[in-house]
Amino acid sequence: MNKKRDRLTIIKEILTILSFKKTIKPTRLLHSSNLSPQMFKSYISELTDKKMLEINDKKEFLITLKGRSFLEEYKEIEKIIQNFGL
Amino acid sequence: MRIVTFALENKELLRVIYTLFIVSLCAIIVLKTDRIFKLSDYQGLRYFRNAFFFYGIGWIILGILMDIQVSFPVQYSLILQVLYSFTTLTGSLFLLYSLTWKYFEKEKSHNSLFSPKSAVIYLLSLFLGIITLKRGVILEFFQIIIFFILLMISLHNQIKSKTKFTNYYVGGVLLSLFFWSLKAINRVINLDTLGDIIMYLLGSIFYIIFLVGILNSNKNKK
Repeated sequence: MNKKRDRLTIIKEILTILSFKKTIKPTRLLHSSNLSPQMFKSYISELTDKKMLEINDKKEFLITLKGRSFLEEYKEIEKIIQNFGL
Repeated sequence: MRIVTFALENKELLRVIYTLFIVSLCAIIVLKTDRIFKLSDYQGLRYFRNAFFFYGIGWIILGILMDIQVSFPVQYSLILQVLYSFTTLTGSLFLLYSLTWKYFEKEKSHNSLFSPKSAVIYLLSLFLGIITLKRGVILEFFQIIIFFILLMISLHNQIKSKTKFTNYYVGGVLLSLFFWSLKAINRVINLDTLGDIIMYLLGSIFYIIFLVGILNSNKNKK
């Protein structure tokens, strides 16, 4: 059985999928993310609010510069969380 | 012995330098974690930063308190004493909560300093801070309890963790526990200047360890 993923891990995985593609359709991202539709909607909403992800005219998702920054900084974020047991 | 003589002759200056040093460490910790906090919006990091924010404010208040005790009316001194206890206890409670928040809330973002959970911490710290006016040793007593719990949790994290730093975290918490224990003893038996120096050295090492942990995480960036 897979270990339950925490919020940061899920965000990292969604953004990683996005970083490999120029744009991606919502259903494709939903299937790749392994989330329920409800959870998926919640995370997409959060990422959009945080401007880590945007939606183009064709209703496709694409990663933003801020989203790419998160991926670059992810190791550091993870290390601090591990170091301090947060 | 030379160190003790020097410390005795320059007590005020050393106190100011020490206060500024600790406040700087707290400020650096909060500032260095700002970028990654804004990116991650991670609750544990939010409470961790809150802890050092309040510790920094506490040290500023302590610095002002020591200056005004002689020349200002007693009421101002009492208010500042309560504020000092409040900020110190709030800092420690936030530090404790940064390790335990997952048991009490889901990962939802909200305002860093104003939330129902933070309000509980503020009320508890304020209540205890007011009690310290009656019995000064109450602050030290509760700090010892908080740091003892922190020690137990950090020992548990050390067993689970893959990073070496958790050993230093445990060390830092242990030193802080000694610091507050010495402070409590100081209330009963007035420790001499050497005792004061040891106490404040222990206190500063706690902040240095935490800053090193933050900088260490930064080091692995490309």
